[in-house]
Amino acid sequence: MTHKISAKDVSVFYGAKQAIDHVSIDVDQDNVVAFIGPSGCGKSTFLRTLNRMNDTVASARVTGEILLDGEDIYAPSMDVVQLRARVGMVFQKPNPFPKSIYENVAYGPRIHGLATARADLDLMVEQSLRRAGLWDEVKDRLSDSGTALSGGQQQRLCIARAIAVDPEVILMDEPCSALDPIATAKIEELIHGLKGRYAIVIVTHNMQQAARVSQQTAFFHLGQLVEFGRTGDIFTNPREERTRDYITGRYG
Amino acid sequence: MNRTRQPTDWKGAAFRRRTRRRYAAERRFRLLGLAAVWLSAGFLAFLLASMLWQGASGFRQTRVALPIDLAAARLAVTPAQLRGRGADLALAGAGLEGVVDRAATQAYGGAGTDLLSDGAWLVVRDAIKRDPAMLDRRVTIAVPVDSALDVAAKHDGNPQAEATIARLTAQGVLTTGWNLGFLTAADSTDPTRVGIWGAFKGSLLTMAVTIGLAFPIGVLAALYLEEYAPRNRWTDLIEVSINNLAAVPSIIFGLLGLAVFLGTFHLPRSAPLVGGLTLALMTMPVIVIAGRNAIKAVPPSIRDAALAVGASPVQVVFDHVLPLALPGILTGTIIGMARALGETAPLLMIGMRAFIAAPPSRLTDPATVLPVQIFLWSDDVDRGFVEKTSAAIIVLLVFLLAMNGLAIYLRNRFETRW
Amino acid sequence: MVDHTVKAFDADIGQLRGMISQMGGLAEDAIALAMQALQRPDPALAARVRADDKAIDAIESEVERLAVRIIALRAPMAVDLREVVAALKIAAVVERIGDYAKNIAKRVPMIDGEHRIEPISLLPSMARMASDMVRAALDAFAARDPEAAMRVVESDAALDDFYDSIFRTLVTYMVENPRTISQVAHLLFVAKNLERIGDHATNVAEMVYFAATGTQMADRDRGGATSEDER
Repeated sequence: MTHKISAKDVSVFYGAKQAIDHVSIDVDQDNVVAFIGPSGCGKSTFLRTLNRMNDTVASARVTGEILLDGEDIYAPSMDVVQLRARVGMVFQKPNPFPKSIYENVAYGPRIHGLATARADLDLMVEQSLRRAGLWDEVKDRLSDSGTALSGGQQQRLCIARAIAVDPEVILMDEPCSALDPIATAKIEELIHGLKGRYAIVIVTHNMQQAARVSQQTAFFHLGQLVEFGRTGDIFTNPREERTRDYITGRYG
Repeated sequence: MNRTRQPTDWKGAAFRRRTRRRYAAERRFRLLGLAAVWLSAGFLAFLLASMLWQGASGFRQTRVALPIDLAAARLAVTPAQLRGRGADLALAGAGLEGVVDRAATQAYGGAGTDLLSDGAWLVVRDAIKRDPAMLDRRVTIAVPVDSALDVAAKHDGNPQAEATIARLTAQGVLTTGWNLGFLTAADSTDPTRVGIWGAFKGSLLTMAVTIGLAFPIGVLAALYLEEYAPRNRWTDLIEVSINNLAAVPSIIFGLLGLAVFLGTFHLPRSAPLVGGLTLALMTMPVIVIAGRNAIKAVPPSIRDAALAVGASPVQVVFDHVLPLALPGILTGTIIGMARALGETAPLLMIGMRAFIAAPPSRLTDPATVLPVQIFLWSDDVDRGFVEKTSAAIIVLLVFLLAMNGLAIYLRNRFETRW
Repeated sequence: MVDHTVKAFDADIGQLRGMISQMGGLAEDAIALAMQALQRPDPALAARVRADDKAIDAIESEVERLAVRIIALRAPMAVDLREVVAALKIAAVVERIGDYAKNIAKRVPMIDGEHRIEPISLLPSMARMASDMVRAALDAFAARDPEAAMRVVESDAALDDFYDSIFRTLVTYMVENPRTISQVAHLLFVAKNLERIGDHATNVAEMVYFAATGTQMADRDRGGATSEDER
């Protein structure tokens, strides 16, 4: 079985400073992988290499190979725009467009040409909002501004927006950091529901969250991938001492 | 050694004094701010009041009643001619002007023609065109008086004219009315016939050229510099250059216009096209600077969100960045346009200072603009032009307000929509 | 192992382990005193042993309470989690060891008779062996030593063999001295209790091994055929 995403020996440099040191990891379809680690360990940086968001930083340089369904995403022949439609991203602070809720979700399909007729677009918007667990709350006010929603709703709107282009992978960069426990729980439940359709990679500094939502966990430390395994094993019997020290709260 | 701090006595005398001084400083600052606002408002009110005071009379004209026996004049025009387009020519050819002069002499004696403005017969002509049946009757039409008398009626004339006015007022033949011709006529040597329309149209055309060039070029330049250009020494140099361009005295742009547009490209002198080009050069840096700041202020999270959903760089810019930056860009445009509208020096240099009797109809026709017109009139010796200058200033201010109002409306519309 | 960054966590774990050690000590004493009461015989001592069992029960409730609090408030992971769960289970097991000691003490009045039963002299050494296993298991817990735990498990075989031979001796004695049957029957139960104490000590050792390594000990052979029949 081929892995959905296969990273081999990936290193990331910002100018002269090395942020990621020879990381190799595989992400499978229908799986949630959690990246955990202390601040500055590189988990967010590595996440952003998976959809080439690091391209926006002028001094960033990526070596190694990252394959999406076997294709190298850093090859010159890879269209970044299409890559980012196939690999969606949800950010730490909810960032809906300052447009209506409908427009937020419809924007992606529209620019990629996934739906042109109004009826098709309506269907896509409804489906995405349903999958994001937001439909019932907003179905009567689709023309309201997306920024008028609460924090948790905004984040679910961002997830709906990512889903609308029918991606294969969803990357989440600390999606619940800015949310209260109830909103967080709703999103964790949502992730559980999305797990079957998409490969999900979630970066979190909350270990309990990683333990709750993921099937596999990767522990990053100082730019290196220290340990990667089944979540249950990592949290009950990690192999590496650094992993054990981090998850038991022995930071030294 | 005991290094523990003593608990702070917030209620003690020293702290109470500090608090009082702090409150006093805050109060002082507020009052200063308020005083500054009142002072600025005061200056503005003073300016507006003095303009209105001086210019209001420019919109009114003194008229004298002139009895004409058109039936006896027997003008050689047919009703058919009067309805057609050649009416003006026909009436002129039929000697209407002479008829009016004779009627004046008849009514007011030998100096009767001196009482009337040179354009009085035009008023009669327009009345006949409106009501051709007049030709068979004798009518009394209120026609504009001569400039000297008009000035005297507004209490600014020489003693002789004042005496004439007094006499005519006693006869009960004087009326005052709205001088709508001021808004529809072009420049003239006669203050009673002068109008602002020529300069107004010139300003409109010039502004159109200016906005049409400066806005797209400025906005696109700002977008490129902010979104696409790499950050290196060359772009820093460009940024410094543009900032400095915005501070260059406007007359230098006039020199540039003279040398390049007129000298090298041999474009027609005094045309709104050249004026617009020159002003566009002057306005563009302002728009670029305002545009760059507005674009810089768009939060990067919006760009990230758009990129993450698979938008191309062009889509990110036009679907997300530009709409959010538009209020700021429009503000910069307002500032630039207001400055351009009031510019006189560069336009003088490229020749928009001549006496233009007919309003421009094309971008390449010779024209003048409102500020230059005001300058030219203020220079004229004839007393009648004093009030007209102030009246023109009022028109300029109204134009400015309308333009700003439009831009503010557009800005608010874009702001609330998003 | 490095200390927790949050020192109170270490304090809680330390308190938990301290209570387990305390329980273990009390259980070992109970076994020794119960055997002493049996040997002499000393009904007063036996009564004291039975009363002292309440102390062990009290500590077991404390351990339960503290373990649940640690899980709720500290969200222990990996080795900490395994230790807390092991402590919880070990407390229950040590409490049962205490109960067995109490049970032995309960039989002292039944054995107190005119005739002296000789095979009684076999029991103290078996009791010492069982008690040693309990101490070794608790030492392994204190030291977080999986090898020591494995040694405890291995020594259970010897205890089981000892039990088998005592069983045969007692049965032979009963056959030869039918009047002592009811008393010797109690001795049989005492021997059985000691064998069960040994089994519980191996349970403790298995949990110590799991807490230290995160894996289960390989399946061990649980004693001879006779013991199987008894179940």
